[in-house]
Amino acid sequence: MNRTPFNPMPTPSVAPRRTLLQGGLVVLTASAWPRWARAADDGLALARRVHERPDGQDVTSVVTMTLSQEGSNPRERKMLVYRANDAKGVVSTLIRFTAPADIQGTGLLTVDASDGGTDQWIYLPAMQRVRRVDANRQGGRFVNSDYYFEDLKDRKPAADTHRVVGREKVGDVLCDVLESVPVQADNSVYLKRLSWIDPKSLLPLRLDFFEKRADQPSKRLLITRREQVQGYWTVLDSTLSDLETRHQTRLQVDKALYDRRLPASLFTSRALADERQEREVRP
Amino acid sequence: MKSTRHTWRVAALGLLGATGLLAATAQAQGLDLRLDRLSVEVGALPDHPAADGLARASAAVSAKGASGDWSYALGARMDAASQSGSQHFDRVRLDYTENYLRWQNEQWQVTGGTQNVMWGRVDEISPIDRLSRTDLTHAMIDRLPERRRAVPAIRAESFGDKSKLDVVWLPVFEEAVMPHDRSVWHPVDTVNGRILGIGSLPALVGAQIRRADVDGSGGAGARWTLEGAGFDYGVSLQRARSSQPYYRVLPGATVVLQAVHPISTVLGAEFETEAAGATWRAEMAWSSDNPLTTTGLQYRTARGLAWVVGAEFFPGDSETRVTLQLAGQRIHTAEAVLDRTRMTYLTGEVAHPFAQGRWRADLRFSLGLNDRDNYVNPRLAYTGIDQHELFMAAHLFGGAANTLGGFYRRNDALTVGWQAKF
Repeated sequence: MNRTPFNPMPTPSVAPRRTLLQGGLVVLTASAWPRWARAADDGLALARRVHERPDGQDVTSVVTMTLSQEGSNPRERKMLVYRANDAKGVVSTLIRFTAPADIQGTGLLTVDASDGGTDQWIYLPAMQRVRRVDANRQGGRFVNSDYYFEDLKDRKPAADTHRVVGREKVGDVLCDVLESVPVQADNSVYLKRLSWIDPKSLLPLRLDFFEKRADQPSKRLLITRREQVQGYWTVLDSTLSDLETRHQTRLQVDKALYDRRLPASLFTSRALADERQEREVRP
Repeated sequence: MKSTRHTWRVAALGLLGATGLLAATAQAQGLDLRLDRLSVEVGALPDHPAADGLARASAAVSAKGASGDWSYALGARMDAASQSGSQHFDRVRLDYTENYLRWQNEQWQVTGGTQNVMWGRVDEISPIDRLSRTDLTHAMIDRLPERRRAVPAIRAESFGDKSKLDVVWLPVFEEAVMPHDRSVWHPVDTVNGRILGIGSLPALVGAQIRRADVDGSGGAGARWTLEGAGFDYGVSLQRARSSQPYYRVLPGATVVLQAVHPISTVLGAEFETEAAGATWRAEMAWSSDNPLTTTGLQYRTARGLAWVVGAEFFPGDSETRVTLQLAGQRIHTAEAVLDRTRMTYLTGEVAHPFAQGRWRADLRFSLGLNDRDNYVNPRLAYTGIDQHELFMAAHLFGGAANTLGGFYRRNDALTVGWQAKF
């Protein structure tokens, strides 16, 4: 339940039949259970459906990040985000900044192994060195945005206890409200998250993050534009707000391309250090 | 030798001019001609007896392009420096940056021309970084990338699935970029008879400095690195000359300091891993020839071992980044020498961005553990305008006479500056 528009979350226009059958079975079985147990079971099922929805073998996104705060000039970062899943369940992500000039060329390569281990390397053009970085960071702002490093990771449903706590409208869409509380408090900077899930697209249209108090969110993500791209639901515009400082991070996906058969060589330290390797597959 | 260096610079600048014409007239694929960087910095030297202020400005331009398996880079930089006071000087210096032609395919990359070759993994002091050209114009007050310059090289890199073999040959030796002879950052003070690393030598008052052995090849090296799951490592072998000079004392009616660049065989090992909430980096290098001066002012070389163990972490999982390195060097000699043969340091940096990254407070430091040798560099930067950075900084030195901090103890400086990347 912690997928953000950084990994634009696609959902097929028609959910696979097996998924529909499994969902029906869960509802039928749960109806005989106590209400609290049903809510938890529904919550886990919903969290799994959101997490496991097909999102292509790979996706390439052209993203503009705008940092803004009242009284300050907005700052803009442009980046390319490549993500690919391989047959062994390894998820690789390469982020390359293309603007502004002071961070242009900076790259971040993340390899999430199927066993939960993560390796991460950064390339800083000024140093001309690829360096391993701590992949277990949770707090800390990603390029001074409102996104924490934890927000960029693919959080498995089993990492949280999930509960459907109601239904509420976000705009015109009636959403399931899902509460997700970390199973182990130390594996997240958040006490809990509340997600407003659109049942059609399975995208969270709103996401509240609770950091210090369980009754007051500290950050809020709102998705303002989503579309189907090549049959996958894709977040095209979203804003994450720090509710205390009023600082905002807006992410606009200018282009998203799925299933391009990105080469495995793109997710190596060579491509991380050599922009030219990656330029060949730029959209 | 001077003509060789001059030829490289003229060639680089000529190529840059040609690239400008190319940019205007041709439609080469992916040509990218740009002003890379501008910077200006002024400072006060409140404690120095012969200099009260310094100023410097720098600009760099480059052009890059590619076609098929081929790519090229052309670049040059201009550095202007001025020092006020009785030890006044002005200097404008042109230099090449990266000027290369490169061919690459899926497995290989071959590059010929001037290029940045910076081996190693640790910050600040990298024992295996022996092939790059050092920039000593401001001693160590600039950060590591700014203390390295491109070097003429032929380089072949072979990429495996998780491994890389990097072979570099330096056909032409290029010495370090040195400060102006009158600069407070010059490692030899012939006015007061002092030399960096040794300290006070009264015989050096009025000594002449002469360059030597700057002809020939710069050497060669090979480095093999491998990425593992959670663990990266590498080994290297180099036979190279240090771009940083060592001053050999030639006694006489007028003492001469001959700047030499001894060739040394260097065996290196390195690793990088993640554990206990930190990224750990380590390097070790054994070298065959480290220059020394005996108490009888004789020049010698001896074997030595240098090592660094460093950690990078974010306390409390916050945005504050801390790097710490424990570094040591031991030179093995039975002779009585003027140089320090055992050195241990703790170096590091604390970088704290605040106000949503619009400001950054940094603290760099180097502390000698076996001799008093301190350098502290607090710095406050405003980074709220993309591509631009305004900063103010202090550079504070202290230590025993034969240490770096002691040698520059009158060079405490307060500076303000601006830099931009385009």
